[in-house]
Formats: sequence, structure tokens, C-alpha cells
Amino acid sequence: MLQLVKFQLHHDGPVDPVLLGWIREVLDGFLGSGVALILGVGVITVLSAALLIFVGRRVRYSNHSQ
Amino acid sequence: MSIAKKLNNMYYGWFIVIGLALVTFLDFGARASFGVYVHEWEKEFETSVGSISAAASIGLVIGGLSSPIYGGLIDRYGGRVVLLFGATLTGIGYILLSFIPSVLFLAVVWGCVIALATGGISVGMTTVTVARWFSRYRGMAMSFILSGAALGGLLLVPFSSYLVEIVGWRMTVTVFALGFLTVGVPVIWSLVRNSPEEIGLEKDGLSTDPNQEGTVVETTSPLEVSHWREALKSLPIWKISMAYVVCGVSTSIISVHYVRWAISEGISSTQGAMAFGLLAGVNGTALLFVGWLSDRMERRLLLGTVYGIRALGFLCLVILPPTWGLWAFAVIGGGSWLSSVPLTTSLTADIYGLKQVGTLTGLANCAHALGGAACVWIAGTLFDEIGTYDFTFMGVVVALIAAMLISWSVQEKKLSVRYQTSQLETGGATAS
Repeated sequence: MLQLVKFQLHHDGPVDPVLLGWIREVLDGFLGSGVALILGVGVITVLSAALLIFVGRRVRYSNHSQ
Repeated sequence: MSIAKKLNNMYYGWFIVIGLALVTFLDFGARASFGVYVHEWEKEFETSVGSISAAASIGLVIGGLSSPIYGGLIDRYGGRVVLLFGATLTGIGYILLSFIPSVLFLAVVWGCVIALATGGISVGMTTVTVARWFSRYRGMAMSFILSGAALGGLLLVPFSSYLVEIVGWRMTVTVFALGFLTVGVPVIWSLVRNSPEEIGLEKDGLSTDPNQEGTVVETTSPLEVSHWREALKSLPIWKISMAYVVCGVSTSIISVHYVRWAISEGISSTQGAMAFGLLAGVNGTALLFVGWLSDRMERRLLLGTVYGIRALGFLCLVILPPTWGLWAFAVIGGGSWLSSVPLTTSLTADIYGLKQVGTLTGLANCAHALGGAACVWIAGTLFDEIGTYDFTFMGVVVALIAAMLISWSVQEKKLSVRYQTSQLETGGATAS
């Protein structure tokens, strides 16, 4: 069972606890508490989605009219 | 030409690709964060890792089995409605997850609801949706979506790890729920359309008007099917799927056992984890390169070569001194890891056409997932019995070489639509 969990965890990305600890260590060095990462990833994701929707709709009408 | 004008001339299909890469980024990141919550659940529900594993196992099986069903639905109703359903249900599933009172509910919510929901927005379904928008740039489009998956695993797992520390796991899964409902669903709703014909466009943004410059006159492939069962009577689907099962076996084994192998060879776990991180980084870059290359050469040759390179990586683990093997595999194996996914889906679409590609890809994904899960178990049991991974890795080398030869033997030039298309002129795309 445990192996299957590990499979599930790793299948979709590198989430080995040791690796995660290492990534966290590196990120801690750059970002301190991690709040910057949370805010950065969150804001960039939402903004890029909004921009993508806005530009995408314009391009769809533009492609269609061509 | 201004940026606005350049954007307006850009083929709309690329916006669907970027949108679905964003959805895949969220999906992979959210699912990969499962590991972050295990310890929290263990404490809060006073349960064992084994019980939590059971929930994950149920999810794995349900996710694999749902793949052909979603594929069939995409073939019938188009990708938009399936992806919308998947993203909405995923959001609801994560909200439900934030309220679970015990591990039994974890099995129901994570193992059934979320596994079923995420099956609808899995890479199999997003790549199949995109396959209908591209012909010439199909490989690149699919690879781009998968690079979103690689980025999601790398960025969102530390993201959830920090968030759990600050606001707890319940609020963290709620943040993911909001991500799906406020980013995933609107992106799919606003951008995804089932096919370019639906909005008056053609695949790749090229025209099919024979009087117009830059025209591509499309034909069908000799094996194009209108029902997926017809495909099972021909050899290529079996060849592609058999090789894909080997892909599942090799990636699953290395995913689970790479760091553990490093420790068994006397390498520190930190070094093993760093090598695994390098592997993931190389993978993301290689994916885009393979996608670009696959649109410029026979996909079966590239697919076979990807398996061959992966076999070489496994061989390095067995024959090189452990530290050398570790880093050699990180580079060689990383270069070939997820690259087989877009190649397999696009080759299937090229040979069997787009009408049933959802079901066919779904079936291959199901075999990929279940075969991989079974072999992870076998590899672990063998290691417990004999104390070494050498025999397992050599077995994978043999299987990958077989997958390489099988892939190369697909008669792509004879069967793929890419080589049947009569291109009158290919220079000027109406929108590129």
C-alpha cells in the first residue's frame, strides 16, 4: 500500500519528502518564510489566467473575422 | 508590427494550449501535494499511513479506469464539456476534502470524488482536446501542456508545504478548490472550444480553401476508424500501447525507487533527492525540445529513440559506479521521461484519426497507470527479497529496448495522416 502511495505521489511530480525538504531548504534561503512564494505563485497564476482570457477572446474574434 | 497586431494574428489554438497548460499546472500541483498532507492526516485522524495509502490506491485505480470513459465522452461530446465537468467537480471535491472528519471520508472524497474528477482534466484528456486543433504542430502543442504539469509539480508542492504550515491543511485544500473554481473553470469556459471548425478556423490556422494561398488539402489516414473497436483489429495500436505500458512501468519504478536505490548504494538521500530534482528540471526542458522535433520528423523514430535513451539511463544505474550512475540517469533519464506521452497520443491521432482518439488514448492511459502500479509493487517486493535493484533495472532495460524496437516498427509513413496530406502550398498560413 505504501508503495502505491509513493507511486501516486511521484507519478505526478517530484514530491519525495527528502526532495521536498531540499527544495524547501533552497527556497527558504531565497524567500524566508515562504509567504513570498505563496503570494507570488497565487498572484501570478490569477493574473496570467485573467490576461489569457482577455487576450484569448480578442484573438478568437480576430481569427474568426479573418 | 505591434505586439497587439502580432497577437491578433496568432492562431487561436495556441491560447487553448496555454489555457490547458495552466489547468494542468493546477491539477498536477494539487494532486502532487497529497504527500504534504499525509503527516497532518496521520496526526489529526489518528490513523496509519497504510489507511491513507488505501485512499490513494482507490484513487489510483479509479483514475486509471475513468480514463477511457472520459476519452469516449470527449469523442462524443467534445473536450469543452468534459473539461468543464472535470474542473468544476475537482473544485467541489477539494471543498469537500476540507471538511472530512475521518480517514473513511478521505477514501470517499480523495479516492472516489477527486480521482474521478481529475480524470476529466488529466493530460490524456487535455492533449486529446488539443489534438483536434493541430496537425502540423500537434507534438509541440501537447508537449507544452505537459511542461505545465512539470512546473506544477515543482512549484505548487513547496507552495502547499508552506501554506500548510501557515494556515493548516484544510485551508490549503480550500485554496486549491478556489484555484480550480476561479481560474481553471473560467479559463476552460472562456477559451476551450471543441474544434477549430466550430469558430470558422482550420487546424494549425491553415486554410482548406483550394483557391487560397497556403492551402492544405487534407486526406484521411488508411486506418482511420469511426469506432475504437475497429482500431483493436490492427497492429499499430497494440504496438503503441505495449510500448506505452513499458513507459508506465519504467517511469513508475524510477519515480518510487530512485532515491531509495541511491540510499541502498550508499549515496546520501540529499544527493539522491538533488539528482531527482535535476531529472525533473531536465525533463521539463527536454519535453519542449522533443515536441518541437516531433513535428519535424517521424514520430515513431523519436518515440523509439526516447525509449532507447531511457534504457541507456537504466543501464547506467546498473553498470556505472553508483554516484556516476545517479547523475548520468538524472540527465539521460530526465531527457526522456514524460516525452513519450505527447509522442504516443499524437502518433495514435495521426494513424487512427481524431474521431476515436479520446477512447484509444484513454485505454492506453489506463494500461499505463495500472501496469505501472503493479510493477512498482513487484520492484519493491524483489528489493525486499534480494536486496538489490540490479535485476529489476536490467529487466526494465530489456523491456525498454523491446519498446524501442516495437515503436520503430510502426509503419508511420504508410499509415499516418501526416504523410497522406497533399500539401498544395505550405508557405503562407492564414494565421500562424
